[in-house]
Order: sequence, then C-alpha cells, then structure tokens
Amino acid sequence: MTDKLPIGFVIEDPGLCAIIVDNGRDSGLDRGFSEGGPLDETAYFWSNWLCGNAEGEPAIECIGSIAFTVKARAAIAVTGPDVTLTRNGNACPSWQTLNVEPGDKVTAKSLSPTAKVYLAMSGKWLLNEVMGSAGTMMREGTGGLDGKGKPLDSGDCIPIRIGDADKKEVPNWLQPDYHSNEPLDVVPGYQFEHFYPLARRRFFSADYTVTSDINRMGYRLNGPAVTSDVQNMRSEGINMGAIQFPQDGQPIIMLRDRQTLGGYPKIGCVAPYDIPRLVQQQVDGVVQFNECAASDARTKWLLAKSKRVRYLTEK
Amino acid sequence: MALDMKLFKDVKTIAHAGMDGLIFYFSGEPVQANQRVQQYMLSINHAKPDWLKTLIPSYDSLLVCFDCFKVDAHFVYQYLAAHELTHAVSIDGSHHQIPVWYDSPQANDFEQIKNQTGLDKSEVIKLHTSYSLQVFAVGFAPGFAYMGELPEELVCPRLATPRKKVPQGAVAIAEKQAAIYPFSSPGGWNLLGLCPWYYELTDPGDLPEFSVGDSVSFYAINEKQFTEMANDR
Repeated sequence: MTDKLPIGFVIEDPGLCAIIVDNGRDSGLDRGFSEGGPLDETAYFWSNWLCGNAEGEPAIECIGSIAFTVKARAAIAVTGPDVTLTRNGNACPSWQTLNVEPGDKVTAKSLSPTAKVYLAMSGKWLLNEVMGSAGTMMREGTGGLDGKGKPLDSGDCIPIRIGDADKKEVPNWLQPDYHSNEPLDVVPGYQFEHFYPLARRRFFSADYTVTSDINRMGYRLNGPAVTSDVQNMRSEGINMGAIQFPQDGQPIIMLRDRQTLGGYPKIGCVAPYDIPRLVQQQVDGVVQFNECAASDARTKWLLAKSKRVRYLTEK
Repeated sequence: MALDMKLFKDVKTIAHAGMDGLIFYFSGEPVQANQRVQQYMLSINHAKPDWLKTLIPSYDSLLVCFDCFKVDAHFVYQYLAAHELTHAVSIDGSHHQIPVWYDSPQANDFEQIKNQTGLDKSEVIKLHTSYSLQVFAVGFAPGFAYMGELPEELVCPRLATPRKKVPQGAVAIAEKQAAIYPFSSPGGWNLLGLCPWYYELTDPGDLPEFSVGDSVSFYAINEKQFTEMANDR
C-alpha cells in the first residue's frame, strides 16, 4: 500500500528502538486503551513546530540514535538532549529547521544512549489511526507504520505528503533544562495520607537512582523503600506521572503507555512540566522529589505554557 | 490525599490525582458503589463539559482528568458536587461462562496461593468455579475485565514485585478480584490457569467483549479440551 504513497524518508538504522508518536489518545481509556504520546512532550512539540507542522502531527521517537535517507525535498528537525546531527557527514545543529534534499543521508545521535530523540519532517504524515492515535503502541500491538504496533525497522519508508516550513530555531530558554539537578515536583495525591510520615519524609529527601528497567510504560527507580498501610486496594485510574509503590517499596513512575487501571498505592504524580527531565535521565542517573501543591504546580505549568504561547504568537 | 473540600452525596473520599486530575471514591457495597461510578460517568459524559479530558471509571472510583488551561481542581470539584445525575444504570448484562485449564504449566501460582491462603489447589479451583462474579471495570489493558468479588477465603495479595511477563490468556486473582490477561504483559496477579479464548489472539478487535455489569463464572477444562477450544476459535 505504501508503494503508492509519497515517501518522506527511509529508515537506515532505527537505533535501539524507534517508534511513531503523536499526541496520543484522550478516548478509549475507559476501555483499557493506553494514552500513548511522546515521553518528552516538550522536545516532541518543538520538533513539529520547527517543521511548520500542526501540533500533534506524528514524529519519530527514537532512543539514543537514528539514521535515515531523505526521499523528498523537505524540512526536518531533530530535538532532544545533547543531540548531534550530520547530513552527508557534515555536522548540523539540532533544535533548528534543516532543509534536506532527496538522497541526503542523515544521522542523529545523543550523548546519552537512552535519550529520547525526536525527528519531525514537514508535511502531512499518511498513517492510519487506532482509537484516535497513529502512535506505535507496542504493548497493545496497535498503531504505527504497520498498524500492529511494531517498532520501525531498517528499510521502513515513512509516507509523508511534503509541506513547507520556514527556517526557525528554538531558543535555549524554551528548551528543557535537561542538566538541571533540581528535584522533580510531585503533586501529593491518591493514597498520600496512607504512607507512613517517615516514609513520606524519606521519599521527599532521599536520592533515587534510575534503574535499567525503564520503558514507555513506566520508570522503575531504586532507593530507600517507601511503605504505606494500604492493604487490599481496589484498582483505580492512573494518571500520567503517578508514582506507585509495590510491596517492595521501590517507586515506579507511570508514563505514556501505562496501564489505565492499577492497584498499587500511589503517593502522588510527577508534575507534567518535570516529566521531560525525568524521562531523559540516564540509567543510574539520580533524581530527587519535591512536594508541590496542585495549585502551585498548576501556576508553574501555566507560566511555562504562557511563555511558550507568547513566544509563538510574537514570532 | 483528602482535600479541604466537603464531601457530597455518595462520595466518601476525594483526592488529587496529579496536577490535572481528581479522583472521587464512592461509598456503598461494591455493587452499589460501582453503579454510582457508572451513573456519574454516563452523566458527565453526556454533559461533555469543555474542560473534560478523560474519565476513567473503576470499582468504586472515578478519575476525572481536566484541562488545566481552562479550569482547576476546585472548579472540577464544584462541578461534580453540583452535578445533577441524568442517567440511571440498568444492570441487565449478559453472562459469560469462562473455561480455564487449571493444569497449565505456564500459569501456576498455586504454591504461592497456598502459602497465602492455606488452600490447596483443588480447594482453590472449587472456590474459583463456584461463584458468579460481576464485571466491575474494564481497563489496565484493552479487554482486561476486573471481576469480583471473590470469597474471603480466596483473598491473596498481589506479588511483591510484579512479573515482567504474564502469558496471554492467563486467569488470575488478586485481593478480591479475578481477571484474564488478554495479551502477554507485565502484571502482579497470582495465576491459576489459561483460558483458550485468547490463544494466539493478535487483533484487539477480536477480544471477547466484557462490559461493566456483566456476570461471569469459571469452569475447569483439561489440556485436550483447551487445545480443541483454542483451535475452534
């Protein structure tokens, strides 16, 4: 079927794992379908903006690196932490619009082997949606290029009806501060009051290490155990960033491909604006958590959002 | 975390669920609480307020996710507290009889269950097959139906550390709940056996359909019957 579609680029090397992401779903969650969407929403958003695309247009999310051959005259953009880009062997900047020609060989690589790197191309991506999203849902076996949730492979052709894009760049102050050591804001909630006071204090003061058990469903951390008096809990809806504790007391932070319902006690949720910094942590990276009231988190989020909106409207 | 918000009607607790979520817990016996969840969900879905992102219903709780650009948690609380229910829930779901191969080597946590409950395998199977359960929620994964309530004797906790891979079609229990894993996935429940309906099923569109309010019961099959049923699909 893809033979007849215009091809934007062909994957040469997908790196550790490359998938298609868009804004994810806001329906079907009550029937157990995962939300999906980009792990690093900020990097994903800007990759599309740099290509003149509509918000929510599909893009590639890859881990660490990707290599591809361009098949059309178009604009591309690559975003993520510490990404270096080459076109036909020559270094090019990330977080900027890059004009490419058919036949160009492009590579993108982050200093961090587990970084989430985003690749957008100007135009309309010609993909089918499942439950309102074209994103690859590996866990459910739905969506993506083949419609069955398979990650991208060498030789895969990405069908795109090419559109125009002006040359732009994202100023530093609008990019996430990936190297910041600031604690991640956590909005207390769910079973917060059922965690022992000492355990809560420990959670909000100790260092937690990112384990190698990290994926789009959730990130497992390792540190001082945190326990609660919750027993026989009924499964309930899990929001993005929820921090749950199985009986071993080690936190799991629930992310984009999380299950919709779960029955482990949760102390709260990582604030959405701090998710990019969390998901871009390397294995063995250290994070800390800061208790932040819902209203304060919302104020911070609105400030960041309006900073973005003001920049976009004045541009 | 309980909020400084007054409780209303059938709500027993309200808690934040992130910056953009509130979770409401309903009072009452399991069946009644679940009906209240359904009522609120249908009614809010019908009203479709423009700030609503998603509703996730479960046993006795309703997670309401909202657009922080438009409203805050207090607004959502006020909205629900003042909300007039427009929908009655009719419980006339269908009944499903679910075959289980309890001797499957891939799904066999009977020893662990014995440690927790003191029941041996035949007693567990007897209890598991002699009650009619209700579907309380569908979630966790597409087609994953939460069924309950199991009798008190059969209650055993989730695994201390979830398994990274539960086989497709595994029939499982945790606390007072029973379920079937529609696809292979990570999970923390105790496994009893395999259901042939899910054997090599790949398309989420082909999943057996369970709806909230349906009733279910389990019955035992042997390996030969499992193979026949798996091939018959």
